[in-house]
Amino acid sequence: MKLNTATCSDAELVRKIRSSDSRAFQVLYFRYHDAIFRFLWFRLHCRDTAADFVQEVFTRVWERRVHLDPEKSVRAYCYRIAHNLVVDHLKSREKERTFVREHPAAERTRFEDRANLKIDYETVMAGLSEPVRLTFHLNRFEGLTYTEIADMLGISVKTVEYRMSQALDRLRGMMKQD
Amino acid sequence: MERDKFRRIVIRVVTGEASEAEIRMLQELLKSPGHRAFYESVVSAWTHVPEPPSPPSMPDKKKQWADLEKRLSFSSEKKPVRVPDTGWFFRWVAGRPGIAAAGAAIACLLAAAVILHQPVRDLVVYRSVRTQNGETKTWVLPDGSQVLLNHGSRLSVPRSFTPACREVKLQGEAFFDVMAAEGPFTIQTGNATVTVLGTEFDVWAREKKKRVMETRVIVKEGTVRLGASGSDTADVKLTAGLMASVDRRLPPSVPVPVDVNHRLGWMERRLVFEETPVREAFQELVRYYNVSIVLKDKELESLTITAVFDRLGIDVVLESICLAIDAEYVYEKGHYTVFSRN
Repeated sequence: MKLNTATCSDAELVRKIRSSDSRAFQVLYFRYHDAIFRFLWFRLHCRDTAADFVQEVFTRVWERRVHLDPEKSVRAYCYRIAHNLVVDHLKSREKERTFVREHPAAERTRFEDRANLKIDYETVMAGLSEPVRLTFHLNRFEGLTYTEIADMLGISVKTVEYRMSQALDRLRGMMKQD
Repeated sequence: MERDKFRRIVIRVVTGEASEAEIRMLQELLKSPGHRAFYESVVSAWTHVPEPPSPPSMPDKKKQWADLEKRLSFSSEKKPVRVPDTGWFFRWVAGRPGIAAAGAAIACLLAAAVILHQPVRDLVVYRSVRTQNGETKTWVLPDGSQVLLNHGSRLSVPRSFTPACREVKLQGEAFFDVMAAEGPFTIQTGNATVTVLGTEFDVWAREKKKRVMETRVIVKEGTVRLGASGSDTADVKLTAGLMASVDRRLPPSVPVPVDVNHRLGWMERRLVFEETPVREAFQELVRYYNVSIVLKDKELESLTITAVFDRLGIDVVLESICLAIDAEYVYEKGHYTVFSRN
């Protein structure tokens, strides 16, 4: 029965995607598209780039479908690809900037995007190191488990746990001041 | 060292990583006021951290998918084979027009034979997908419409479901993302009928009390019609951002504007209560956490609560609700019992 392709856990979907079931892949796409887009936008603050990268993430998932592991979280796998795309993108941007002057229009949109950020979030997060912020964000706002975050960032669960406690200590300190 | 261990458990519980054993352990530890203060400060930090900025608008998922489909050109890929035994036969016949007619006749006979030999369960008119308490499921209908089923719900789809004739039955709550097609898409709940063309909306259809059915509809995009089942009263028309409900078989309520994303927090695993009667809120907790909760004092039932719980553990949630309604709870032999403090 073809409907059965569509319910089911991520693990089941992965098994089907591995055998090139495009319908199962569609279900996965609709399940995580929004979350991955939101995460990419959060990191890049650029709608077009984020939308392009979502497509890239799922293209890679499909192209590497035979390597998917049903035992592991496919959601974490999607986030990992997204994260790597962001890191590479920011690196190449960094290089560009040292050689070429930014196009004024590009500069302006970025500035506007920044102005729209909620200052609250930024101030609260300001005191945390980048890896701690990212770990906390993934757990609190993306709903990833410790194991998923560990898988995604290539670190141990212990490290995730340590970062979470650092983040929460810091936040507790901030909240007391209010 | 003891202190580090305690802090570790608190953080695991609050962030939703803890095992049953750790939760029980924490309950013991919280009997000390010092521990309690720390625990409460972590809960407060976790709950009140400001939301990160979010994108001003989301890309059109269906369009994006169509693009990706083109880019990956699945048509050239090996598709899952649905009718493995007859596929070769039809291909073979198609290439030989002379015997196509005879072939068609044989195919009809074969089909008849297959139908006669269907096991009984396949003759059942509806096929249903169910979620237990504590689980949600995504389901794609044959017309490409998507359904996200909330906890403890059931969706029945007739075998006759086609893009031209789309009717399903729902008990519980589900979010529908309906693909536009020739015919309308209809949802029957116990007491109401919801009719749509192509749109996104939420239907909540549960028993408020024994045998008192209520159906609530919240529209995210497009237009939806809502009417009481088997009654001649006029339907109401709901557009994006509106909510209306049908109580028993009474005429539908006047649509009111609501904050859709807030109301549909369940889709992101948030528990949202908006002046929700305590009784209904506890029913929701039972479905969400798959636990058993007994409400001891009847006078608590008349209270309402307004709150959002973002992926917190059951104990944190119960604790806050009890605080708000001036009640206490105990956990014993697999049941939570809530009773008034007075």
